[in-house]
Amino acid sequence: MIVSQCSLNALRHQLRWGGVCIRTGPFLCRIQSPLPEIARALADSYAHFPVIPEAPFADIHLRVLPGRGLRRWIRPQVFCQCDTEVPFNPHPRRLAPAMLEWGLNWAVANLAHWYLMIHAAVLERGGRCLVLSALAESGKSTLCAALALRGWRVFSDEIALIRLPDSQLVPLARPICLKGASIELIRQRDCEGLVGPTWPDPVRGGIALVRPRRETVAGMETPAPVGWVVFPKFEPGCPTQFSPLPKALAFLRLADNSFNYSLLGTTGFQTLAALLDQAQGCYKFRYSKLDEAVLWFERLMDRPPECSASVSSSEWPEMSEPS
Amino acid sequence: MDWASAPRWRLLTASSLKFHAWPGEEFVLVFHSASGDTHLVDALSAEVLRRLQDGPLTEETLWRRLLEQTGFSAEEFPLDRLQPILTQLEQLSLVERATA
Repeated sequence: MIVSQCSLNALRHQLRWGGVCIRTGPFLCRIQSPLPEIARALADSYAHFPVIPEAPFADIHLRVLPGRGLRRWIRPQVFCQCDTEVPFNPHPRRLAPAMLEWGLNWAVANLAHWYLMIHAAVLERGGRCLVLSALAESGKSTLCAALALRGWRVFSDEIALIRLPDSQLVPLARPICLKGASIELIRQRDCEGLVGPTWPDPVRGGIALVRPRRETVAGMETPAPVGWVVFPKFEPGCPTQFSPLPKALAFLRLADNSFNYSLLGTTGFQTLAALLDQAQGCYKFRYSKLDEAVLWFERLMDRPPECSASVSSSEWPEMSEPS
Repeated sequence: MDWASAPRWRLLTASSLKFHAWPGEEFVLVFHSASGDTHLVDALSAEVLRRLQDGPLTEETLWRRLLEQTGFSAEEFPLDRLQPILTQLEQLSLVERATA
């Protein structure tokens, strides 16, 4: 059974009482909430995800709850609870669906230490993954959404899950979270209605989720090796620029952006080194024009591996390499 | 200096170091499992650490082994170039002067 086969009323009832168990990638998540907007968010953003009725066990137990005391009624708030932890301050109630996403991200990043986890978007095309690792506000999710609309398979827009024995990337297949100006930018390209409603948020300029395609969810049990590691940075007015990065330096950047590299010790070192052994190249990438950026990534991934290893700026005449 | 009383260098802890490098790149990653730190060092510094994995060595013995390993001549890599490498590795808490 998948979420779209459940009526909204059934989802509301199940969320309020026993919880709804959905599978996202390798995780079984039990979500509980008395809030009707969480049922709506599941119906909209998780329509193709499998529901596991009567699941005896879940990896993640997340509750999205209304604010306590007067915050139930006056400027109502919402908070989330993962097992006994409350990871974030309460937020305005209108951000309840975003709280669900943040809570699930937090749970994965803090619990799933049988993976090496890096703050990165991961997309797959042609059997190889593109890892986009960057700090917040670098345009990572915008790029991820733009590539997803071009048919790339999204593994995650936030957390790269790297399997410890073989450094394969494992899909999480969750919705992409867009913020601010990128929402309308992506909505303009969205012919399939994948971008959900915008929830007002003065801090982030609004939040919207991009629903994963059916094929993305159907393929969420299929891992893939890395192809390229790119460190993108959105800079207004900047021409599209890239420069190759030695793997040793890419390693340090990925380790810095990891949630649990230090925790895993020698295993983390060996897993990350093996990931970069498999990578065909690493780049720094700056952009301001989304269409140019998408074109650059599609050309990068469409190259056969033997050519890709020797990509140089001269082979990309319409784009410039920073000095 | 009497070789027996010459200062000897050793790895800071007996725990193993892990090395990783990629062809054509000048730097080597070194993971120090005792501290959990990952260091980026040049190939010569990495070679110093590899030689010290066999046990404490005097500077001169270490230097000679480096020459054998790397194929450098004494003119290309004089002994006094080893000291700053060891000092840098000492500052990274990877090596120390052996007291005994």
